[in-house]
Amino acid sequence: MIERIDGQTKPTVPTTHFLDNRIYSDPKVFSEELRRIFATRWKFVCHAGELTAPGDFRVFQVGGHEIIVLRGVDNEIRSFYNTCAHRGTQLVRQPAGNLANNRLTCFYHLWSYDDHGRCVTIPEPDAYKRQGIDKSKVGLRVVRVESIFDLVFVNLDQNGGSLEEYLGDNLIDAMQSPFGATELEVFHIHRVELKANWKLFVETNNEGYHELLHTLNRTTAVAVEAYRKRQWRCHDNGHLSLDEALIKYDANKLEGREEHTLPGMQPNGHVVVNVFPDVMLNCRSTVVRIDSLTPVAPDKTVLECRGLGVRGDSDPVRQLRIRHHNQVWGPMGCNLAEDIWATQAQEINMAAGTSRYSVIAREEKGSMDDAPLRGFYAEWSRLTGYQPADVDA
Amino acid sequence: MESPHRLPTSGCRRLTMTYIDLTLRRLIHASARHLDNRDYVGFVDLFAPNGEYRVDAKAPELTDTMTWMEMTRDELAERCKQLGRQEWEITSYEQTRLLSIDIMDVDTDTAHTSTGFVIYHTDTDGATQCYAAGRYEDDWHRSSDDWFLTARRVDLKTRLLSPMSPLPL
Repeated sequence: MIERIDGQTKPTVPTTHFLDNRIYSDPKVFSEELRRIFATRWKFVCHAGELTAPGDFRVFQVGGHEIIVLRGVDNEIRSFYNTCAHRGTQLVRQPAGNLANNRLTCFYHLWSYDDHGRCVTIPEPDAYKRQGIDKSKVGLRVVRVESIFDLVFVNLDQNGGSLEEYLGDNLIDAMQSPFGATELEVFHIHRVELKANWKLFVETNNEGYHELLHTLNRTTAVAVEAYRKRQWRCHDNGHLSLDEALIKYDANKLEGREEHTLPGMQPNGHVVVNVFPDVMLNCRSTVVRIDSLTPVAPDKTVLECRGLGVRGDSDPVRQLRIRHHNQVWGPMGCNLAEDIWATQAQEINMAAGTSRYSVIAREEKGSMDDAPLRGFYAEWSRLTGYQPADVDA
Repeated sequence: MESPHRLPTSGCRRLTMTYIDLTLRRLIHASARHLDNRDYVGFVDLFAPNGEYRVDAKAPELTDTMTWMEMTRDELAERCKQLGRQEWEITSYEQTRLLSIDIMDVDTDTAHTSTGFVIYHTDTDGATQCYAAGRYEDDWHRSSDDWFLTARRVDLKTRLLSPMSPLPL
């Protein structure tokens, strides 16, 4: 029997149905998350289309480390730690660019490397002869990188399974529409410095009843019975997918999305695929959004948001997709800002210890269930060794 | 031909140009004041019926400029109306816009102005921070002695907006 739910009293529901809120604020928990989740799981970094030409590179933070992802002269995508083998200087200090002469050259002592990470130049190398150091023995630390449907993932763990094994056949099937059905390209990137723990934002992408927060979704989605009834699917390794449902855009005076729908999508259709631990692939019939998170501190996260259309879109069709993207998403759309305000409003109380327990006890067939949150935390617990309902257990 | 760098030499033309210059400056400042005061009705009323509002930003990761918002006058009015139905966090800050109007090209009944802007936020504790910077690129049209915005394009330099806002900048 439930005695009291006040955020401070331990709920008398199964331990799978509530959370010890110290999981969001404890520095040891955060450190273990970086070590055991972000340094061992396949981590989405970018779309392959962001590296169009040989020499194009991007820099990302993964598991607390800076990683370069680049396209080599042979058109292959490779990844390395962004650190010179000599004395640890950052090799590239821009978030994106194209390598001069396809070389990674350290600006400090001018050691340089090719696009395979092999050292090609050590200035004045004779001074190292006595110690037997020459460029043939020097190289960058390689990071595993694999792609699926042009979505590029890296893994700091050199020994784990493949990306396909990690995602699993069922999730890959769920991703077919639209990622496997057409070539997409990124037309929008922006970042948000979220003043909250990364998991609080993941939770907004992993449950459907917070949509009551969204002015747009209240009328176009949550009010629609079929939208509420669609199922979350929990997959191996903590991944999730949400069955397609239709959005009633006209309920909020927005144009419908019956034309230029992406392959495999219904007009006005909506699907979500969440890749553990932090990625959301969200498709609203004509346009795609990808969210990915970089935890910086227990109370700070960088959220990176992308908008995607079809490669080769004509200008009018691309403008339409951008418009549809911006209505809902983007830094000036309605929904994303609302999710951020909500998670930051939680963080204040999590950090202060004012709210000790969170309840994830909804059991309702359909999108308003907490089963996806329980599934997420089951995987989280398996990897970190912590019990979500009691950090001290 | 009169030099664009000098005031018109004919007295009548000079007075006209000065009057237009002052009128447009007044309207640009009015647009800032309306937004600072969250008087979105007043802001939208500056637009012609076919007016458009757009916010663009450029990221180093992409070749093309991004469009973050593009709305007709009516869509902008509808978006601003939603403010009454949702407690948007942006409203907990006082906004102060500082402007630098530095380009004004006038041609009889049309004009283009370019204005640098900075938006400051003051929170409920009284702390003030810079929120966003960029330029307003405005196209104007005169109709019966009144000037209206046919287009405002915000060339936004700031790409980390905190808090984010679905409302015009």
